[in-house]
Amino acid sequence: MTPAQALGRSLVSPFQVLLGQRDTIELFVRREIRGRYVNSVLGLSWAVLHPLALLALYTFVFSHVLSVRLGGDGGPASFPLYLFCGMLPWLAFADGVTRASSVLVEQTPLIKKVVFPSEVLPAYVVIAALVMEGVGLAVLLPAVVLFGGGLGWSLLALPGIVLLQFLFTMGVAWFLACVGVAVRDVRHVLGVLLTLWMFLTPIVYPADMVPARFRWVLALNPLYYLVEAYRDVVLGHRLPPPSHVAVLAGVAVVVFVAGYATFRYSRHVFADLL
Amino acid sequence: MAPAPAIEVRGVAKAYPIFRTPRHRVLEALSFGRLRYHRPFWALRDVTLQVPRGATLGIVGANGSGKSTLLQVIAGIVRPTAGTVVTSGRIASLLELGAGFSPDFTGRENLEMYGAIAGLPRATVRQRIPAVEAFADIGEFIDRPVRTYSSGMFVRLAFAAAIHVDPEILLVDEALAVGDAAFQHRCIAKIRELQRAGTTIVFVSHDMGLVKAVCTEAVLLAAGRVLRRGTPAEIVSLYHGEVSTAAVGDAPRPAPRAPDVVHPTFRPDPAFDRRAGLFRHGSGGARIRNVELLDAGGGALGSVAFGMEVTLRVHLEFYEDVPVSTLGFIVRDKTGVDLVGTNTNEEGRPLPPRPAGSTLVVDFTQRLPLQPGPYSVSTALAYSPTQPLYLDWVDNALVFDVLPPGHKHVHGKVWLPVDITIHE
Repeated sequence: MTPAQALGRSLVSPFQVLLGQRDTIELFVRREIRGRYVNSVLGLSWAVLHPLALLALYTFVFSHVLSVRLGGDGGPASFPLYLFCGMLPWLAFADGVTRASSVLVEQTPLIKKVVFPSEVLPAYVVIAALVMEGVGLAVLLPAVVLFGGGLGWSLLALPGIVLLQFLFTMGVAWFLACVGVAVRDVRHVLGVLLTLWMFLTPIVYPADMVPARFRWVLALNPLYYLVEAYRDVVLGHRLPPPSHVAVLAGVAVVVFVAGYATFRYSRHVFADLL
Repeated sequence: MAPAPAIEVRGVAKAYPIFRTPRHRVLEALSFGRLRYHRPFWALRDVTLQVPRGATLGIVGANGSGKSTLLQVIAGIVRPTAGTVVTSGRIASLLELGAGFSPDFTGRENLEMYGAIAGLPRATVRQRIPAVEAFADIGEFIDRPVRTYSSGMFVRLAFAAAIHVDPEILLVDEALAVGDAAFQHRCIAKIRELQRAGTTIVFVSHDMGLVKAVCTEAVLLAAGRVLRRGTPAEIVSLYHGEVSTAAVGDAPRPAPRAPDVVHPTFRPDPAFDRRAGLFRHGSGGARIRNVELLDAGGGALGSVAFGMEVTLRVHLEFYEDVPVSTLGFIVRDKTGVDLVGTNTNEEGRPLPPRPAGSTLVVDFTQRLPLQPGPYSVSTALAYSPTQPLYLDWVDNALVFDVLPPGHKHVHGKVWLPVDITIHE
């Protein structure tokens, strides 16, 4: 097998597993989403209310208190849209990987007592987080039409960007799921790390506010390319720069393949550790 | 050529590392083999067995003997430390009832989920739900959240779901003893249906009646090893008194020897040490090296005629100075009930002080008018007649049969001499 074939196979086999288990994943995703809200008074509206509440909070703090300004085209409505557009992929990422770090522990009976492909567990939490992001997008896109500059053809590139986002998130999720089984403390560490990561990513502030000598920090951050790509296609009516897409795609594929390989390698000991 | 077995377990061992704190686990992992913080616990040792296609194998054994681990290994859930497991056919495991059920969802939703987890296509699941519903027989509760179920309903639904997965290999852990009598009856009927359809079944149970009723074969596990494989009836009777003919079985019956009534000599037996190892505890300051059952002429006995006078001879070896010690024995029937027993102090014959390196041979002679059947003898050497501190304790030191008396029936477990006077 040539290295190219090996890479091809290691890229394809996780997809084969995910596709083969799509019924199971779909049921898990439904259960996850309904399960979050099934016993709450406002039910599924929380899927919209939660990002809206964060949006209001961040807008107030960063736009009005800290007076973050967008360069150039900013109308009064554009900061919330800018913020919301960056927040959605971030929340989906953070939510997905956080849940993935504890999902194996939560589903211990499935791992210890049932013959079951455990890859599915991190996959469904990541996909559920993406579905929740979809709800957020269903709020964002009309808002861009009503209050922002409208939508352009560039929006057609969004599914491709979401796919890369999925690959990256999935890879990190598989990796963290393994770590979460061995070291339960990971949940606590992760909360802090993700907060730090969020502030290192231009979500609540525009990237051009970052001083030139710190730009390299952005360049090392895959989420930077992702968030900027979202803004390009949703708000900017343009495709992201090809170099950014190339970096994002490269990192996403490597992380996806490596995360899956780590999971496959470690899964045999899950039942012993749980 | 015989068809390939459905399950082939070869030389399987499973060790669990025991860490004192989670931190030790991390330290050991980070040292890449340079540091060792764990000690291994061997849940299974060198287990080899085949299950032919269509057979139903019962696994019995005391708690902690490795039964559940063996099922997990066969299922592929737990990877063995050594050895291999080869299975052919789709496996469903029923190791825990309702694994994967979530309380907030309705019975029907949980059934769909369960089917998906078990790897069934959605169409098949939909098709089978009515049958599962009928089997579980919980009425309209099928459309209510599972958390509103009584525990009985939960168990019925979970069992119904599991058994309708229609696997080629079904692994069941303690799950059959659920529900009311009528439901159990239905479970057994369903198991028989699966058996007729050629399903290979392995099941772990403490319900010996069920093992006898359902299994075609059984194995007895003890301390992670297969002690004996045999017919369900055979294995169940072994399990029942912890009577260890299994351990003893392979050892040859002691050959008849020249009587040495005059002065018995210390005669340790390596075969005795080997099988005693499984059932032994104590400080080890002295050891029981052999236990024999002899007739009045000093010949070894494997079975005892009803009421005959026999001698239980115990060979002791002391490894430390033991000023005071007490030797006792107890005879148990096949269900583990203590029937007859005593010790040297009780009978007013204390053992003399023994220096390290010395030996002692002690004979207990009495009649055994016991109900015919298999019996086991446990022997123990204690430091003091009053405290339960043992130099050595060997369960199942000896197994023997009492033969039926030719002329009468034994109504109780023990027959005692009786005088009858009839007054008219």
